[in-house]
Amino acid sequence: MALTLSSNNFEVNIHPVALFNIVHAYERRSEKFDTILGTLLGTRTADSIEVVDSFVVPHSTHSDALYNVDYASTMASFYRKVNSTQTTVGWYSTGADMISGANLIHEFYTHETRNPVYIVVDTSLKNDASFQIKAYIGAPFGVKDKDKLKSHGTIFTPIPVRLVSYDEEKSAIDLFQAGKFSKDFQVKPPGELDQVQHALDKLLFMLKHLTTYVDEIIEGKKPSDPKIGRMLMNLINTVPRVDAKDLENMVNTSMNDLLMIQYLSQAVKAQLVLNEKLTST
Amino acid sequence: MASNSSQMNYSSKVGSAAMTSTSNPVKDVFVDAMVVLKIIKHAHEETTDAAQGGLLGLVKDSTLEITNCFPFPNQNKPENIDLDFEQYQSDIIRNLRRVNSDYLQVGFYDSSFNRSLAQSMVPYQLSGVEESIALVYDQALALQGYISLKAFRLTPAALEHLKNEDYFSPDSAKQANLNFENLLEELPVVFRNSHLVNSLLCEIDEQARLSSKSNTFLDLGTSGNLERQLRTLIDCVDDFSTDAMRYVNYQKQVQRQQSRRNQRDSNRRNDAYDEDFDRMTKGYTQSRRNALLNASQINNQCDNITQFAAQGLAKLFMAQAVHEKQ
Repeated sequence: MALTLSSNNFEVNIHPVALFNIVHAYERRSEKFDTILGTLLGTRTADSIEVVDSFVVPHSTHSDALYNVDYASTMASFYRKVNSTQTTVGWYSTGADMISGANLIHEFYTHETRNPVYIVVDTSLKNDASFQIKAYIGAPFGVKDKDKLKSHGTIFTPIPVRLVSYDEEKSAIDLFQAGKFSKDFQVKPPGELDQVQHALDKLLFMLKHLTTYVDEIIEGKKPSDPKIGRMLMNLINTVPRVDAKDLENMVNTSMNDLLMIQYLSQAVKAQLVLNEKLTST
Repeated sequence: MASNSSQMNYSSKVGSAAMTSTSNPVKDVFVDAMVVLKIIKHAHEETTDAAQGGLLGLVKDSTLEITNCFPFPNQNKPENIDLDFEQYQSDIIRNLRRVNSDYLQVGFYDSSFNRSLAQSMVPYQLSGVEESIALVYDQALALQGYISLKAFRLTPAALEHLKNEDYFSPDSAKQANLNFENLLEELPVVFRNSHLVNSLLCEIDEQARLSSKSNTFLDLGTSGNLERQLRTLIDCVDDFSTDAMRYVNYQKQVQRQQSRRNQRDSNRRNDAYDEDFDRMTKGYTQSRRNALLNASQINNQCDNITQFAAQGLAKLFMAQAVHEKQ
């Protein structure tokens, strides 16, 4: 049993929002605890688990891990009301390593779902001062005694974790990255025009970089790399060839659309003012 | 249930405390990264309808901090038809409270410009926390790589008048200094993260470095987004025109009433018509209030569309310039 599970093609894909949730819960934990536990929600396919959300579950003491089972199932039912495709797929704890009594909690989750995944998030930053995320899958082992139910143990096999995100999530996280270096850790969302300008600056920078590189190769200062050459060729091939007239046509029509919409929205505003004058005098 | 009622007490207490200190109104909105990501996730998964949910947070001096949120179940889905919505909200807030989350509901979020956005702000700000906001997240823009979160709320002046039912009666409308422009206001949104979240960001940055950061800001396609925005605007304008019609009707009725009254005066008969007239006026008061809210929303939506069109135009000019160089 354990052998089939530890095969390498089983992996966990975790969304950043689940991690942010864990960190948030960790920051708000009760003073007497230095670790928190919680449920992971997501979807499961044949060879991977996608974790899209998480919530924290209160527990009584750290040592014997008295787990609030009722709370976990009520919260899971709330989440299911919002999105019925999401189910409990596992659980997490924080700290440098697995918590003691992990097998007991794991056993609870095996009743909730088949093959739960156990993720350890190192919020204490003990290992190389980095945010380690480790995932395990448990398999029961030992002889099952009919009289004593808990005579068997659980083997936790590490499995690979990957960070995945929706496109929107990625752009949000890129936005937050700026907050790492700013004063007070604040990020102001830039205006729409600013973003266009920013993207343009970046594009221009990349193009300049590329042209200097190509120039240097042509002048013989740098050895040419066939790999990069092929990539450049691919890049140029992706530029669509559009007839000059067609393009101009396209640009003009969309511009007219936008101008029209701007005009109309101004007209609507004018109407509002007019109505205001009519009704309040 | 006990904790629920105590929570209600708390929110009303905070509300009254805030009322006394209206001299220090909320100027900024701080939003946690987690809240933004949760909203994004919810909006991404809610495919057919707009994603809506509650915001939890606290008011601190002149800032409103939004530290948590929770999604509302989609009430259009068949399995949620007999769901007790109030119960769901109080249950989830109580559960979040047990894990030391903020439990003061400070508004709601929406993944699109809802046509009744301004309307639904009224109960939140009048009977809940006065500092409540509506957070509007634009899903369509986010797909293009641009995270747009806007916070709206009714102005303190507007709230003051909304409390007073009579304010919108036609008689007081004359000295009204409240118009659509100062009814709904936008607050600046700032994202703020803790140190630990920042270290998580470092880790994510390291892990996700290979997945190139694609810039889709320069996407020229704007029609899909605009179409959606315009559709809600059309809905609002429709409402607006019905309200305008109502006003015209009302005016006609007033005139008729007055001419009748004049007749009655000459005949010296009892005023039985006046009751009728009062009822009508009351009905109109309600509709005028709604019309005003609606107008302020249209105003904000127009600004939104203009902004969007401006950046679309900028991109098109650029494309043209690039094209000419070729």
